[in-house]
Amino acid sequence: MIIRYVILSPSEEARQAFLGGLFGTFELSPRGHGEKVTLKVEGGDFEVVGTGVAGKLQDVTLRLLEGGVQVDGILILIPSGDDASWAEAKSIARLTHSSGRPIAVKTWVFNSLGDLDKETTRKSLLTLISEHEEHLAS
Amino acid sequence: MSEGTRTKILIVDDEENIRHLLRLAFEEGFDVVEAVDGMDAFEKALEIKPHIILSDIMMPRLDGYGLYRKIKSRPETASIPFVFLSAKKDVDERVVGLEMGADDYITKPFSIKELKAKVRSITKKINDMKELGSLEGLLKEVDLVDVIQLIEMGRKTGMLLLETSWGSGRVYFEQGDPVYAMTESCKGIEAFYSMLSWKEGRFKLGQKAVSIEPNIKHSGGQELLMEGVRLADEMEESIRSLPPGDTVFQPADDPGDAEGELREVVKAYSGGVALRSALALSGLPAYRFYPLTREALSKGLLVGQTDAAMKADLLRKIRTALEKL
Repeated sequence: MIIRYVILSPSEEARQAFLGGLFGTFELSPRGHGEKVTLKVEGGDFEVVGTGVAGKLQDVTLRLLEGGVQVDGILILIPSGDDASWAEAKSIARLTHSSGRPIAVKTWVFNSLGDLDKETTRKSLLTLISEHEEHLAS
Repeated sequence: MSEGTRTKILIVDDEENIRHLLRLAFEEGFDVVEAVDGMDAFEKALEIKPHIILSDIMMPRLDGYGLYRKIKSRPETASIPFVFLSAKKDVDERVVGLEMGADDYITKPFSIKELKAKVRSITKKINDMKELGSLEGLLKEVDLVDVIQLIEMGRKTGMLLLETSWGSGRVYFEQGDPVYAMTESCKGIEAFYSMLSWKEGRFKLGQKAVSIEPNIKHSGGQELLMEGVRLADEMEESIRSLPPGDTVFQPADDPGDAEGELREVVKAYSGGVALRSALALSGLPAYRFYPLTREALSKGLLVGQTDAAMKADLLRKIRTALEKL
């Protein structure tokens, strides 16, 4: 069994700071479109995938959902002041909600890469897990 | 039975009132011949070659089972459809009748309407076989068991081809007897039994004699079919009794004393696997896999959780792992 969360951000640096800071390492997608970390636990894998391009966050989400890719949670990382991405984040939250699938979605607006420290990134993922657990229980 | 020829029906019963009742029911549309016991019926069957025999079981001189054996032992009467009529409601009696290969078993007091419907259904099959040079159709409209019975009744030789969305299969018949079967994943008796549970797709009988090394050994096509139907029923019943489709199973902590195929089935669920995926992983035919899964669950060798419960369980472990990073 696998649980897959997506770190969706127009900022590649932010995604890599997030994954690298928390997990210490990540794999780069062979085509250069994202990053991936797999944490193995008893009974399954926890896969965290980083992806996103400015102006196409919603498109990426749609493609994942319509393509039948298993997505259990989405953490949207937005640089402060990026209003276009913020608007996309709101659409994504509506989109996943209306899909009827138990996908947890959280949005985090950061001021600088320095905000993405290990404790804060861990806390953000644990918050996403809590929301995911609520979806599963409902 | 060509067009314009009436169907000959032989009614065998030692009770005159029953024979009379059946004559009244069938004389419109059928040529009805009566026999008072098994011996009388056998002699008349040899003489008139009826298209169908309706026979009581408990009769003097020669009972219904004895008559059935004699009818099936003679090439000239072996293909005549045979329906047992009996006051016995005992399930074992019914099973004996059907396992012997009878086309149906109807208990008294029977509904004339039901009996006429059965007879019409059987005679239609005979007509279909005689009128069709080849047999083809959709499995959702005609059960494969019926198709095979038609082939058997018509003593056909040829290859029955089945094509479905998940693969194809073929059965070769010689004089109505299935002698060779194969699907894309197995051969022989296993393939034959697997195909009996196929409910979708197309079938086509090509009546061309093919020289092929038999891979099905059996003592009678009817027995083979009965066993196949039993296995298909057992599989359907197992599927119905299993938890919902999104349930993921995994081996229990204590594997117990599972051996052989049961062990293979339990192993196929290692790591938490849904039913269909485990079926593919096990390599076993569906008619074996589902009942074994049911057995494993009843013995506590497997534990099942819905997908949501499995994920919640996994999330707890992920949370712990994240806190330790």
